[in-house]
Amino acid sequence: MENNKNNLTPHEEFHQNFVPEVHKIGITTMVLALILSVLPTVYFVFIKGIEVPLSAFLAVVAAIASFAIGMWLSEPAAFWPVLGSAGTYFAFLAGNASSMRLPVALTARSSLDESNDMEHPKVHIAMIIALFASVVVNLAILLTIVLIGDGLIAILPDSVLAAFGFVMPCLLANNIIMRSKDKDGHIVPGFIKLLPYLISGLAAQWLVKNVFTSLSSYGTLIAVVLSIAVAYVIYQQDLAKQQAGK
Amino acid sequence: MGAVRNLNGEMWMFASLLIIVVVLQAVWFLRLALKYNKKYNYFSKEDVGHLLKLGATSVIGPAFSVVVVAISLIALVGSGLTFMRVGVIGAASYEMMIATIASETIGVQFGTPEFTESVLVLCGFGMAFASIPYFISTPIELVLFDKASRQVGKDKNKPSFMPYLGNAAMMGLMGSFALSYLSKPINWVAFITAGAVVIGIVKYTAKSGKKGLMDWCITIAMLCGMAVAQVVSMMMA
Repeated sequence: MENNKNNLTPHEEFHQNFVPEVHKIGITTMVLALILSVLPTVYFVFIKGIEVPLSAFLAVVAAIASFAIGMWLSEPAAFWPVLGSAGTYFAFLAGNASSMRLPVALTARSSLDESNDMEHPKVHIAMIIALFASVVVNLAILLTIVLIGDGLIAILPDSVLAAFGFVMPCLLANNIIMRSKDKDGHIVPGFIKLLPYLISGLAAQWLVKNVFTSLSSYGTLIAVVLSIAVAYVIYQQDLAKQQAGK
Repeated sequence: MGAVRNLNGEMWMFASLLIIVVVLQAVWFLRLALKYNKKYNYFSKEDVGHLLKLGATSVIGPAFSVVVVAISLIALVGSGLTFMRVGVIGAASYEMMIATIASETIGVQFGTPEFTESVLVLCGFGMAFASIPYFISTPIELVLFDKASRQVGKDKNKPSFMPYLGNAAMMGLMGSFALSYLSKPINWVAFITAGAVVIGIVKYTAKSGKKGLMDWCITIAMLCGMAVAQVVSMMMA
């Protein structure tokens, strides 16, 4: 036995040791990515001398910022409660948060006893291992596609290409069921517990799209926040019930 | 397409550097996970193999769904810039939109003689700029959230709010996605087919105890959902 180091509870281990290491990795790689993203522009403009008027840069910045600023601020916040910090770092460097990282992370933890405990290192480790494989395979496929590109599109019939348009509804079904199921394979009780949150998310997005349209780029965050507010009410009720039970 | 041809080689060089960072992050996180796994023996070698297989197979469908848009993006801005952008954060459709915004801002169309090297550099800048703020907002927000969740979890006499928070956030996201992805009736066909397949696999695995099938769950569900929805839509047409 290694002195009192091993006496940490999983939660203490998570907050004291695991999380700081996750942020060390996350921050370092995000800063590297930032520098390397700016580099091509710096190189082409200042070293190669390709002239681009400053006004054009500013116009592009303004055009993109005006619609993307809501996403920049709200998306990491919306994914964190679900993916945890390591998973969110994956999602916002390797990308494809909702189509690849989310389904993989959910399925990875769905069979664990601790699947609901986001402060347990085990849950994060399962997600990281599966996400690692998803990143590597995605890049390999992408590289192949980019290299053989047009040839592949020419071979595949239109009907096959059109079928890829149905990827997201399929993933949605997978995600909802994975989140509802317990480790013994029961689905309905979990689903009923989750239903209020699903409905509040749907309602929030509908309101943002149809009534409060000026908030449209914050739709995802508003959906998450509303669901969390509903969860807080349910949590308080459960606490009261528990206290009454004592 | 002269501009694209001229700069494509250099774009590939920058693309490779950025992709290396993506791989570096994945490997570094994996090393951390394996280190803790060794310390606490959470997962056997076999379990780790299952998790790897799950991650690897699940992305095949979504990765190919990017193909169509990625190819059109290559036609516009070249393979180097496409790989750089789609491999980092970018969903191909998002990058396509950004590239279009960038070129339209200065009033130039793709594929015309006016699409010079300057315009291509501007497009590349716009696509990078659309993701750069994530590299700043993500670490700041995550550090703050982890600090906050540690405070919340300190009171040991009360059950934690964190599991509620996780469930609510997840389902809030799903509900908000459902609004756009389930707006077309044909998408319900895909949704219900895939859902039925997942339920079938979950029930079968629970009964038989064979975990292996679970690794392929997303892939099988997706293939079935896509195939059935496509056949139905062709029959209706």
